[in-house]
Amino acid sequence: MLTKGERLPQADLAGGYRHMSVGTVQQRHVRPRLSPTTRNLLTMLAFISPWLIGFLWFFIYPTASSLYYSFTDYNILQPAKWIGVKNYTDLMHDKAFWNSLYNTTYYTMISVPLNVTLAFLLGVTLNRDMPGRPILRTLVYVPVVVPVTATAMIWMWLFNSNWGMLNNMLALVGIQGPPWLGSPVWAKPSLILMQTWLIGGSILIFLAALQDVPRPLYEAAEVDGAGAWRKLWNITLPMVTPAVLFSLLTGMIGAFQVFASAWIMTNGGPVKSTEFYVLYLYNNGFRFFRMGYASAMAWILFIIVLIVSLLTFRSSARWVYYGGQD
Amino acid sequence: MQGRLTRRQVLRGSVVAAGAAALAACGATPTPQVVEKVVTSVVEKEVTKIVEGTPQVVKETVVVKETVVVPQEAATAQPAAEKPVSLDYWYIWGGDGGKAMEQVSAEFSKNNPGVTMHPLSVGGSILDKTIAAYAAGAPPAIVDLILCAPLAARGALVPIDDFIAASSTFKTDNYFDAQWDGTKWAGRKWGIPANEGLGWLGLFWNEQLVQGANLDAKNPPKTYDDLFTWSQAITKMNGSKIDILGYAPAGMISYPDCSSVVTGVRYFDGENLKYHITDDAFVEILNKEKKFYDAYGAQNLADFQNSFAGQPVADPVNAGKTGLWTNGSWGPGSLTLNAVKGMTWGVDFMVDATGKGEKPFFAGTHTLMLLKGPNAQVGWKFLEYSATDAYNKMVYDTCGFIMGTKSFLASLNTANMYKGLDFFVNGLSKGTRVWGLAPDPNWYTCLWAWIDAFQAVGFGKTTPQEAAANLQKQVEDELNKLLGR
Repeated sequence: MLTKGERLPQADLAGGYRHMSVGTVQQRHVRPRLSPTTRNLLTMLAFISPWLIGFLWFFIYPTASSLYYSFTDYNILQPAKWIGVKNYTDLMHDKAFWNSLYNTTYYTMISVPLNVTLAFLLGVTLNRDMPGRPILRTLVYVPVVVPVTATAMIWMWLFNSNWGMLNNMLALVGIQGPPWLGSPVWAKPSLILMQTWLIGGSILIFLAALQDVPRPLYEAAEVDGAGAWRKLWNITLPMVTPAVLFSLLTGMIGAFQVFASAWIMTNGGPVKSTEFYVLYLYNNGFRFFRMGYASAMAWILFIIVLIVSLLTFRSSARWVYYGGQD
Repeated sequence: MQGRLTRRQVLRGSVVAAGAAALAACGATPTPQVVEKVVTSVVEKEVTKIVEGTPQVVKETVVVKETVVVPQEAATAQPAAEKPVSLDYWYIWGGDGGKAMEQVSAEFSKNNPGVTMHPLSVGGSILDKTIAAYAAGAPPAIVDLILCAPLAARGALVPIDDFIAASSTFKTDNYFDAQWDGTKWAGRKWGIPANEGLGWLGLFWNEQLVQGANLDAKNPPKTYDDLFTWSQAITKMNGSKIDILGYAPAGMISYPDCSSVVTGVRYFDGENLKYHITDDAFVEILNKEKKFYDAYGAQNLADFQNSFAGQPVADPVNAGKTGLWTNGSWGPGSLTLNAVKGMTWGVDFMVDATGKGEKPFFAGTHTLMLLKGPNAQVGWKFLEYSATDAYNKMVYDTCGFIMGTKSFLASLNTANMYKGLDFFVNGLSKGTRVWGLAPDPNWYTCLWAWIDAFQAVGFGKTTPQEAAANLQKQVEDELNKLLGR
């Protein structure tokens, strides 16, 4: 039981504490209690703080830093010096920059449509009932989990112009194989060809999308006399266009950042024919002590990828069909 | 309840207690016995320098000696025992080279109580990782790189002139002059030649292929014309494919320093801080090397080199398919261990592009350097240790690397060495034009760009004049930025 003058904390309607002296009318405010909304917010933030701190520290901070450094002369070892847009204007006159952009665009424009088409066709094939289907599905995904270095080494053997499997197979049908990685003409197509080995992830996406295509659509088409090609073109393809859009976007973003295969297999050669954008960026940052320049390159790449992604998104309204639409 | 301590009272009490403790700490303490002691320390201080005729205040890291008054106990204590020190030591090598670095590190730790070395094989990306670690504020104390100028010019290294001057054991003249070139920048030394220091440039030939082409293996080419004649005689084509390559142009000669010593013109003048890449001599050597690309077909040459990738003998030289090539002091060991059975080789000075009959030799080396940090002084002790014959013997016994200090070379028995290694052991003293690494702060940029230029000229993508001009402009711009001019 409370005695006179003893205080009792009591929650008021606003959620704060109001101390009331028993037997008196004296009231005084102390630190206001947090509202449930605020408290929930803080709890939520506390729970996600490991991710949040990582996100801010390892993503937002470096991103903001690179934007700042892109306007500086920064060699990593000494403090950055503000030089305004000079890095950007210098890039416009840098032949190696344009060469790397050309190489990357070439790679992206050929490898992405090729890989999406192949992934779709293989997805359709592996969606059919056939003996050994689970094993085949596993096999097409296996290359995705092979480390990139091992993949590169395997393909270097395959591409070997004298003893490689590709040229030996071509020789069996009377064709003299090209020099693949040794030729400025063939080096980029070689890396594009190698990339087709890694489409297991896209195939998986297409398989999931294909299994969502309603069976009655095919049955109705069959009643109308549609053949396999008409069903593929008029039903399957439109119904999986969201998966096509996803594969296209992620493929493009990945292709613009192509690095490891060229780094390991060709180091940008021969004659800079495989010096892709990110490889040149890396060389500037870590070999030539031009981190400010490399940062400017990173931001230009970001803007290019952003524009290409936005254009793809905008165009998607005309060719992507989401279920439930008219 | 009344009489319970309130939060306010507890806080007030804490403040009073903290204040009392602070006052007590200011009270009189027993005066220790003091003595004077000479100490050396590494400090960053502002000095006035004349830059382009204008005095400017710049920050420099210097070693200073001063007399300080210290408590007697501190003066008599063993320095190493005062505070345990950990030294990170980074180098490129794995395998036996890495093992050798671990052994000398362990030996140094054993002989220096309180100092623990942490050797780390960083691999081929050592420069990238070192500068990233430096930027992150956690650089290794000691790193083994090719040369000092790129890091020294950007303020990441500690100069060692004062350490050398203060050392009672280190002898500068135990090294060949050219070996010091790679340690210099702005008139100071920033590291010491170490671990591998016999040179990078020798002209090798495959004795079987040379004899098979009816050439005299005991009388190797002396001029570029000889080299071309030999190459033509040795080369064997199979349709458009090269079966045997006469001379491999993309060897050590495609390094800017090696081209310098062969042409007799330094591509970078470290004293006047000027590039000479557009000098006629460099344009001419690009032309001379292009002649080989044209003779074989640049495409065929690239295909030939690539066709060995992933093979059991993954190098056309080791496979016995190349007649002549340029390589460094590691060449004889590599050939002994990797060349096909029965293959023998010779090695001599690379041809002199000036036609004066000089014997060009490039004293390329590795360099140990100290990165700025709290343990530079202890790090210097390791550098000092690396100059000893004991260190170099341990490295040689473990992995075969030879540091070309005069005393260590004198202790070697060349009769037991890999075939051809005696050329490199003697090259430093027998060469008539022996140059070291250019103290070029843009050496890495220049190296990659130079290799690219060789290839671009070889493939006919650009002319030698244009390649040289582009390269000159690229490195000049970088140098101007670095020097603020």
